[in-house]
Amino acid sequence: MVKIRLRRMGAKKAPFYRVVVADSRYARDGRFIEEIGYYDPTKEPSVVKIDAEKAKQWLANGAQPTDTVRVLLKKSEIL
Amino acid sequence: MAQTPKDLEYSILLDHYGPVLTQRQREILTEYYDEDLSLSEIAENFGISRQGVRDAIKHGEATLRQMEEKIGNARRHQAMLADLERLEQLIREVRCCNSGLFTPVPRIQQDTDEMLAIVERLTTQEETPNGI
Repeated sequence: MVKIRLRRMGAKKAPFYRVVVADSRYARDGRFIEEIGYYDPTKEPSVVKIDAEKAKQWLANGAQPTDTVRVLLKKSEIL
Repeated sequence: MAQTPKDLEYSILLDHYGPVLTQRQREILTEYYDEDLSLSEIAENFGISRQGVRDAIKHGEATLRQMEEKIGNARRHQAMLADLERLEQLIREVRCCNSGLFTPVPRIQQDTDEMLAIVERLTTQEETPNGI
């Protein structure tokens, strides 16, 4: 199954997340298909930037967002 | 699938107190919070049941929470970062004022350079070594 999930980047104690599209079969090795945005919770208020076009296209193709990503998609009014 | 969304704060607590967890707990929490894997994906990776993963996460979270209640490292670090950010802003203002002068004072330029370097060092120093 193709999933849309967060992937933590950034430094220790200063997290920064990419929103990526990944195949859940490769859940272990961190391979991902495409990066469609990012989420920076360290800023006040937190910054969410997601390519709406790409996100919608992946969702239409059956990609499943994780609960955390679902919240971000709602926040940026894509869902 | 009806779970409350993950609280990414745990990801920060994991940076601070990760070493007090067992290695397995730490690995499971890392997959859960930093890679945003689902319980069943983690269960598959570790060859254990979904319930087992859930228990490990709950235990790990409780430990992290207790550590933060008692020690408060994450809270203090957060406050320090905010102070450092403000400090950097102030230093830049001073520099800006100085360079706007008809005859900028070289000493101020030099000293604020050093201040900025110190702020930079304080901001990043704790990001590399291993927890606690």
